Amino acid sequence: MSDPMTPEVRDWMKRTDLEPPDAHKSAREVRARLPGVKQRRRWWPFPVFYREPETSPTEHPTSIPATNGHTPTITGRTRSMLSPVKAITAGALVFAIGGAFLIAQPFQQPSTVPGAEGETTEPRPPAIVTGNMISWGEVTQEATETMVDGVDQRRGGVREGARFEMDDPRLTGTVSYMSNLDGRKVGRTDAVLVALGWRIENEEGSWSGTCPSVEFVEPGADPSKMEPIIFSCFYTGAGAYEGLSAYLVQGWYPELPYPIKGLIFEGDMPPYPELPPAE
Amino acid sequence: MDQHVVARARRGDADAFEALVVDHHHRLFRVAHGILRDPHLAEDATQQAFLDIWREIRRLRDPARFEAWSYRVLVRVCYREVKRRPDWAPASELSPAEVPLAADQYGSVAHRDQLERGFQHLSMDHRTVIVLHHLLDMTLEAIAETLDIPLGTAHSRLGRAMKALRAAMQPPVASASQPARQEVVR
Repeated sequence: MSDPMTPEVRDWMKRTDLEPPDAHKSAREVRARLPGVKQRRRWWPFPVFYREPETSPTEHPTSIPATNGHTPTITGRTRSMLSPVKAITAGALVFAIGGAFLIAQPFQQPSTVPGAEGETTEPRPPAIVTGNMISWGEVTQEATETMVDGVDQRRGGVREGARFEMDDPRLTGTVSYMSNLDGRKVGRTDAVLVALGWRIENEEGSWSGTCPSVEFVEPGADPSKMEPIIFSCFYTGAGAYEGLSAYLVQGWYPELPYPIKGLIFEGDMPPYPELPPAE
Repeated sequence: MDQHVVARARRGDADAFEALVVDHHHRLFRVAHGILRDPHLAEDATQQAFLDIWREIRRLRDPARFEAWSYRVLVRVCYREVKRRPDWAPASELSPAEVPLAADQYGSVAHRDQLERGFQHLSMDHRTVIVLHHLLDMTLEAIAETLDIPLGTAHSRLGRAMKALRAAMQPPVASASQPARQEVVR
């Protein structure tokens, strides 16, 4: 990294007059808390390629009797990693687990998902919802940035811990969103195509949705006078909101809160019409 | 030596684990302090990281990778510690008035103070990548592996972190109290 600040930052980081805590005292404190912390088992139950050294080869070399008077020392592998017994046991286990799943979920079993076929549920009336996005949350993943044919592509930026406060509790909750952006220079203007993926969560369930928009940024313009970005987002419910959809218009103005208005309804959007025939 | 101690700790040997804590405490504390900039918080995070290491150590397949793996555990704990404390603000411990360092001892004390203050405005992502790269001299490949992120992301994150640090060292302007909307989208 050829950043001109690198030497200064490196020097500042490494030069410290901080007195570290006593490692022995910390170790004793950690050890005193160990009985309350249960060690988790390895999730993969079969042998792994790495085999733990059981004793230090320098302290206790393994000796075997030899017929020619020498006593060779074995420092490498002393047993097969996968014996026939282990292979048979692993195979039996796979069949046992597979069988258990088939028994637990026989074919043609009615679904227990609310609103699914075979279960009668009360129709839920549509509701108009209004509210605001009141916080942006924190960046938990930076976008990767690449320049492709003059297009500034940013992918996979994630923010978590944002919040929607709506007049309907079903859409009130914590929000995370992922963004993909394509920025193009048009004259002096940065025209940025925005594709967002959203997830709204609360204790009852969640909503996930996507929406596109475009942002125009004039370099040097007063940020407080920027045009709003308007997102039209279609969400699908899960958990207690299974079978419900929400269509929200979300306006991003220069400052929070960002107003939201939309509709919760059962079912799906109407299908897109076919285009009129070309003349 | 370490690999055998790690192997013993994996089998639940508390003596071996205590020895491991003694050996690695200073290393992890330095990193925690580098990120959190608060010695008390850093010690809490270091101890919690060791407890997490004890809990998860059986899932570490290769004891030779203990050191790199322990950094990953520690970084996660640092994120958690900060999330748990919404009112958290790092201690500003290097103001020239509080730490009587001669200017010729560390170069420009004022500049160090500026760096400290700038660093405290950075996000956890940016702090972490700067500490791993500039304090531990980790390569971008090692950072990507430690943080479990693509190499390209590690590269761009470090670039942005340095840019953000430079910007944070500038005198504050009135409009900086609220991030610009495009920063939120991007």
